[in-house]
Amino acid sequence: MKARLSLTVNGETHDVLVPVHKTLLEVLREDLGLTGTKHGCELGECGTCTVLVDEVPVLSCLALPADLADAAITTVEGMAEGGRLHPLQQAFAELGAAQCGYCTPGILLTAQALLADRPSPTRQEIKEALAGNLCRCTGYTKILDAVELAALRVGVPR
Amino acid sequence: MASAVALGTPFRLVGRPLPRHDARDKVAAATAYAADWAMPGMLHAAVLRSPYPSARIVKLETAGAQRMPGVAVVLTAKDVPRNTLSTDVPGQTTAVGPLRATLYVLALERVRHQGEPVALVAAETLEQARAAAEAIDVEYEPVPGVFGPEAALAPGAPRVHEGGNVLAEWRIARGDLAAAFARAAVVVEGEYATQLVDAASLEPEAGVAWIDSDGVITIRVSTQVIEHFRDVAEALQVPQNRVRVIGTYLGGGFGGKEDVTVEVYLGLLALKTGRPVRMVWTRQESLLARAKRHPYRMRYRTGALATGEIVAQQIELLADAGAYAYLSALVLLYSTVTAAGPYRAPAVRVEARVAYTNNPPTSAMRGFGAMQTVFAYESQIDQIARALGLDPVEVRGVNALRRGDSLPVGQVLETHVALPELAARAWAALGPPTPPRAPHVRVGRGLACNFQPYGRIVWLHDWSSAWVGFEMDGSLVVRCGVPDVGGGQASSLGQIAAEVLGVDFDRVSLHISDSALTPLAGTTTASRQLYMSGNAVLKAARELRAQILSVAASLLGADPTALDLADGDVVTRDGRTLPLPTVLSQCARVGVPRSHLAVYHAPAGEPVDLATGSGKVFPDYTFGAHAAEVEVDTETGAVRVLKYAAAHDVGRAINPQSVEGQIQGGAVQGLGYGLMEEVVVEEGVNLTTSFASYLVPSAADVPDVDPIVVESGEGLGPFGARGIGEPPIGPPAAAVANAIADATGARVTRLPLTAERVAAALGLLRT
Amino acid sequence: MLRLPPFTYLAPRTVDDAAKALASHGGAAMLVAGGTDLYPNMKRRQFEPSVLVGLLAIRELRGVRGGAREGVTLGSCTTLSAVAVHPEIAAHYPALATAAGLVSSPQLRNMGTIGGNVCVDTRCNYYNQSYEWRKAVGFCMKRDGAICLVAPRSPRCWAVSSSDTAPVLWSLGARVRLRSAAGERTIPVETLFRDDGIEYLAKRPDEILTDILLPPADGWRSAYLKLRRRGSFDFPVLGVAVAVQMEGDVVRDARIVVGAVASQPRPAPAAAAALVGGRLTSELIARVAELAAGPAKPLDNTDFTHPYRKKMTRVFVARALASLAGLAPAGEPAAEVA
Repeated sequence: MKARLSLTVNGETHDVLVPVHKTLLEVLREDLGLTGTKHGCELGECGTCTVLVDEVPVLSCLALPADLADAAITTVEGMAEGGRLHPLQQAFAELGAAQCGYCTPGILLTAQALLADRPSPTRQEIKEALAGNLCRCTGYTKILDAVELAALRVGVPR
Repeated sequence: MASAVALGTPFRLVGRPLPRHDARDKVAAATAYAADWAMPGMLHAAVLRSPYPSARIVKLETAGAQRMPGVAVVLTAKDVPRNTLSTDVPGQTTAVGPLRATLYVLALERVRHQGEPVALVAAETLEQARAAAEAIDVEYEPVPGVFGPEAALAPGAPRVHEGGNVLAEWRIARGDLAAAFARAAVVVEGEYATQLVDAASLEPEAGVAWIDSDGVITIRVSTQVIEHFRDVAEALQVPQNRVRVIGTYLGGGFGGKEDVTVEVYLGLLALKTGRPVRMVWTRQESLLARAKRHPYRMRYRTGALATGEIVAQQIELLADAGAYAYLSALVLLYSTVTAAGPYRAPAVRVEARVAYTNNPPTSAMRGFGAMQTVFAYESQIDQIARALGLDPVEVRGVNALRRGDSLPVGQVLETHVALPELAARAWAALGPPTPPRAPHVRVGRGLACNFQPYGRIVWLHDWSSAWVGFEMDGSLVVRCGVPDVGGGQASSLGQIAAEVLGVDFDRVSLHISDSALTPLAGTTTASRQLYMSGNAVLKAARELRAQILSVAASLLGADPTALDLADGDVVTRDGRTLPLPTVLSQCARVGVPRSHLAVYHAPAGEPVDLATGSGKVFPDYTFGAHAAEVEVDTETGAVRVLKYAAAHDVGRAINPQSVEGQIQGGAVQGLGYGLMEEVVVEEGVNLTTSFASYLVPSAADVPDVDPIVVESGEGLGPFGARGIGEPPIGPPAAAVANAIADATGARVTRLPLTAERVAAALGLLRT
Repeated sequence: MLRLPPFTYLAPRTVDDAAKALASHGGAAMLVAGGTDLYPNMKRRQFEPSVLVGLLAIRELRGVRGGAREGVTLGSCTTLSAVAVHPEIAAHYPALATAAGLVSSPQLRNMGTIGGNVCVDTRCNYYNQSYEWRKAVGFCMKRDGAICLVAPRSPRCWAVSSSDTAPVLWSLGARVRLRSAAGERTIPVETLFRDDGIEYLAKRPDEILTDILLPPADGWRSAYLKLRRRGSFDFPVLGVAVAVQMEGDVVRDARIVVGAVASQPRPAPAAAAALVGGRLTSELIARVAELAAGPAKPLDNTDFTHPYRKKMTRVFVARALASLAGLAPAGEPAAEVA
């Protein structure tokens, strides 16, 4: 069964004709060419494929586009504005919080949702928010540091 | 941060925590990983794998599958021009002792482990490829297997391969063991077990292959070893110069992408179909099929004097190779050489064996045999300290190797050993003790030291090459076949070239990991890239610098030794500057190259006779000491790591940010290994095929890791650097085990240190 | 990546339409809400429904109504995240907020629903595997096979109830409303579960779990403790829900329900009865914890061995009761990472 769907991704509306059983992760990567969202485990057990749906982090490997017609989807490609990196992206790049970089898109988006909700989170709150995103390279310390740095910069007008 | 060891020369870029050149692309998701690649007309591939750990293939019929919709080709072993893959050391030598070439591209008549590849399919869509793979008519007849190394070595055990189940044996014998034990004031005996572990990089194995316009089979793949182009050529029986491997930035490797993964399959399918083909493994497939870290059984008997001085080590090691050799013989060699730890011991016996079984194959993974032994030797020395009432830092200081000491294998240490300083600093970094938060909680501390070789075994004659050149505008290009697994391997090379050639880091372009277009650099394994390719780049950059300065000297009428390259100019001592483009134009005019290709050869040696302790095995070692503070719940056995400090002598931190990242990431991977990770296999059947059961630590499970970077300047790498990729994974399991013992008196000798095992050690499970 | 098998997707806007769709497709259709349990299972081909009836577009299934005084009604499609932070639930039914907040990961809780968690499929090491894997070991009776691979001579399936919220709802005396094209019924939550790894729900396939009804808080205090290996992701290896109704410092009524030890949550009525009329002293708690460990008969088909999980049942019941008695040390976590 194919469905004609209208998906709003990063503020842009895409009309796609896709098999209804394709997950959001598959449609983003294969039909919309948005390969920034990564495939990690396909069963909701690693957080690598995290995207935002109406500003809330969800697992795109378990989301059905048919349920998202009225939603605003944000992927990592939507974080930078006009070529200017989001403060989180900037902080991750500066502090070495992205090593292999594969878990980074999901972590950036989860952190973006956290900062939208809590502009000045404690380190423990950051840990809890990121507890659904596995990282195999960094040991998490620099990721937590980078989220703290971004929070500080966003909080203080530059 | 880096400790202040005065090293003389002030650097411009070396030693600065510069953001990596690839960081911006990675945070912006502009990096095209292997699975992100797509091409017009691309086919999708699937592998049919054996469901059985030990069986004969009695029927393999593909005609039906071949007729399925969308199917381009179905391949079995008979379609592979040369079906054996050698577990070679690519690009280097094959003289590696008992190593045998025993890996098949596709199983022919027999399968020896669950997940062994049997057939390949390429089809228009992934769904079609999977459906066709499932439609292949294959019948198996189960054959009795062996499912543990002890069983494999028992008399009458079923043979995994014709030659018997012993894959490799190594022995070391130094000193008079009986006399040494007779002198000992305390003898500690222990049996230790480590588990089967998966690299679990978040990026699964993936690649795309196509036939280039010039007929070259081109494979863009996530690999730590682009030199596998030779393996592909051999399997396909085409000349080696007709295969090109383009290595992508990896989404993690950790040894899991050191052996061949998808590249031979892709090469075959592209060759047979003439079309681009993509293969991406599922997580289940990755956990089933990829070679893992060897489980070890280790028996130790250690004797020490009342001073804490170790005088005797009697060690037996037994490892499970799984069904195929891969790199097991070498992994075992690393274990054998490191088995007695970074400590002096006049009398040492090591007997090490690795056996074939019908379990999942094991091979390289971060630490490569030198990390399993840490759990044993650090548990032993900790018990010696306890038995003698000695301080854990002190007992390590008493025993620590020093420059000029020889290892049991006979290798003399030629560089500084910072072990006492590392141990003292890691221990001190834990700060004031954390009070227990509840009556049923105890808090304790543990220390563990290690040493890990960096660079390849000396009789493999390791080398790396790199090309460094200026463009006419003074911007710099570095070409080097280094795969970047995420550790900043490439970026550090740019930093070194920019340092020597006086340009800003952002004026450097790095071209890496292409077997056709970048000079070969060898594997991103064995903690060797900074050491090897760093030296190659350093050599190339220095030669280029000399070339450029000689031309500049003639333009300026100055002595070349009085000139420097800085900020994109040639500068004289008296402050005159000559723009680099002017000098480069002159180079073109007078026929002096604006580039240099350099090859760096590591110190080479002959294979040693381990039994007689005849000498050098590895170029050098990186030493470390980790300290952990843990709390143990004495009612449940649950362990929580509260504080963690990890100190390593990295020789020189070329990029301290990357060094810290390796230390923190390695320590946390080591904590995962110590506390939770385990691939559970029952009778050869892997029960751990998803991340729901293969437990990678989350942010909620680990503390911040305090990285302590010590710079002795004594390494063999550029500017005195040592390798730091693998070393930090060694100590964590032992540090935590020692901390648990400190907190509770209970010693757990089997990894992972689960709550249940701790509870059992605490006596909680007695009825 | 593993993919979902093809299906027809229906997204009705009302419960009535959903019930009709379900009725018209018979056994071929399945319900899905957040998808966090069903889709992984479908990718492993544990289920291959030809029709999925999605519930996410049904507004009436979302949200929390009422208050502690008269009782609270949760729409079954309220996300676990919403349940975990709902002020009325956190204040008056804290065990439920805790349990909802301990399910898997933050992202999964943003998708997974309370109804889905109550109905979550039972789990087993030999079942939660890919199709090819299960085929290789000869399949088990829960799906595609004839025998139980954990206990080959067993006539029944021993897959384990792995819901965090189910034992809590049971301990709170919750009821659930089920609607179908044929009508509606409201039943105590404990009657929703069956002690069978395959047929673990008494809900008919044509019924939709629409609401979860919590009774008035009425002096009840509650706590939930979860045993798992990691601080995130993991299903419970053990879940202990306790609820006590206090009259002054005397226990008037009590319920103890243990999760993840059988194919359904296991109540410990004898242990709960021993609390009634007593004060929550350390001595009474220790005695009750010993009694509560009795009914737990875990099998070795999830994580940890059964002797360990049984021991932990006692520890966890004691800790949960101690926390209700105000005896627990400060900073005791709700989830024990083991």
